[in-house]
Amino acid sequence: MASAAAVPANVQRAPSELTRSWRRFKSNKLSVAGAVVLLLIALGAIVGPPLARHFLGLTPYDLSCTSFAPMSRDHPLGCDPLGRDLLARLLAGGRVSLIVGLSVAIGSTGIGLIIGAIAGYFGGPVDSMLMRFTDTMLALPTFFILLSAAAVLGPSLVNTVIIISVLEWTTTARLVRGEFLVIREKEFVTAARAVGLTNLRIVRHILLNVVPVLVVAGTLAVASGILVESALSFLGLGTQPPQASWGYMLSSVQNFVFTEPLLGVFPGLMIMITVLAVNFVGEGLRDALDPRLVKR
Amino acid sequence: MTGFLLRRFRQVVPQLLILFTISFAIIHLTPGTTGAVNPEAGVTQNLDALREQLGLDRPLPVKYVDWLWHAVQLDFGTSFDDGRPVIDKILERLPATLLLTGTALALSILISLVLAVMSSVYRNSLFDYAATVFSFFGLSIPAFWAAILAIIVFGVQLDLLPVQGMNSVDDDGAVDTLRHLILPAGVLALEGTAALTRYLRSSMIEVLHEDYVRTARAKGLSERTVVFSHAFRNALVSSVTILGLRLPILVGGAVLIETVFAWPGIGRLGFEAVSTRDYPVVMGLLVFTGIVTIIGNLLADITYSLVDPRVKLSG
Repeated sequence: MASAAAVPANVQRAPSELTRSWRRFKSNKLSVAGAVVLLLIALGAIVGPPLARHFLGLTPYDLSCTSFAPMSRDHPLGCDPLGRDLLARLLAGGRVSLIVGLSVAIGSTGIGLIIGAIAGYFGGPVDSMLMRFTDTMLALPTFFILLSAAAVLGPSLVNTVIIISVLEWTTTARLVRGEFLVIREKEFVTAARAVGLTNLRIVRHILLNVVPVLVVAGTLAVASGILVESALSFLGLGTQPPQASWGYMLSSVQNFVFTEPLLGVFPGLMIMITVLAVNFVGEGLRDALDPRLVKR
Repeated sequence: MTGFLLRRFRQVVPQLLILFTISFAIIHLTPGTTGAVNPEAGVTQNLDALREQLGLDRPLPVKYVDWLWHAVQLDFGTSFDDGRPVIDKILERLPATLLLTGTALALSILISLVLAVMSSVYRNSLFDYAATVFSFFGLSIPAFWAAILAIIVFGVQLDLLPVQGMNSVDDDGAVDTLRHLILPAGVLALEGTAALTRYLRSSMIEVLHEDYVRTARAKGLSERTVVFSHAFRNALVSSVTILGLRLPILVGGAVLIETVFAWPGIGRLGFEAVSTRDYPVVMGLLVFTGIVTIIGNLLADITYSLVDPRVKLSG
């Protein structure tokens, strides 16, 4: 399979690292499937709400549907306890989940990168101080802190993202630090020092080598961001009504387990499928970008 | 060994200090007026009096030192809700949580051991594949949704098991508690089982490729002996630390599971306290669960160094 990809014009050239990574990623069927599913979900979240409004006349806030209406032509997935269309809310909820997942990934890997880079590059007392701090964060009952912080700061989408990011950077920091510790001993760093580059310039050189780790950690952060947001919203401390989110949609389900057992199927299913797809993609990326990385 | 223990113990002190500080900071460095949710707070005089009575009008450093001094003695003040000492409220809820999390932990260790050993021995078999898919699902399913599904399927549709609380109204026997325990513990064990299975499987596979395993096979030991007495024991050693790291996740999961199943443990207490802004209880629980996890990690590390003499703690 690998040889078929080579074109005559550059026969002698070895495939670039990126090409090889892409081939490794492609060879993992589950990861490719995950990527496809994610693309579909993203597409649904981006163009779904306007399409639903335009063609079916469905909005996530319109209360005109009958409560608990079953699936019908007008309302493909039926309606929620307040008479809002489930499909429209599901699509709108996808936006929230994806936005939170991506923002958390950016936020938490950002913090983790800064802390891990400082610790790994400078080493010594700075390193041990920062890592002690990181270890302590790992030992904290994070979810409970999340709850308290969300309640105290006031639940909102932005606060949710900030709080999750501030608490979820530890894995990235440890991975980045590990990479820095190895890379800073390499010849090119010594060479960079020898020609008198500033610390900042050298760090920039090392950073490029940390990108694979960041991508993998970021992907896993998307998954945990989506899961944590849904849990917070489920408890009423994340996304606030009337904003639709998958976790919040599930919070009312509890009251109707006897009468409407199917109400919670779709939001929960969407969370699980999305997180599953992200995890599969993360797994594939890890194998593709850095075969040395330890499995979780 | 003594050196290791001393160094390890010395880590606990800054860890605890960070924990205390974070817990304090969450409540006090954030905007929002304490007392504002009190129904009588409409009158400014009442609000001021209340804040003075609760000691909320003092300067921050004074509050911090005072709180720290009492918190290290596990004195977290009294609950805004019913005026009872926070530590009493925590301790009376603790057994329920210990029962739930303990059962869940034991369940996930047992199941993941079986799954991991089987899938590493029969690597790339259908079983291995199924176990991998299961663990991915376990990691991806929102625990609270799994809980709702369990309630709907086992509690409502099949009507097999109770889904609320720890005991029936008319029955507080051990069998009844056990029946109440099955669903919450099972759901709580799900995520842990998935994570542990993946971890154990990869460390088993690693160990099965070691030279001494080949030696053991070469000298004609049965596959059973090779897997269980040579490989398994060594794979187990490396997973002791991961158990320590799972404690905070277990506590977090307990908040959700206890809330959904109305299990009267500290997780539910935490959620109630957060909802009603009962700050002393929130801070007390933060510190209390934090201490428990820090000690748990300490014990895991010590166990690790006991079972694996090669281990040396760096830094």
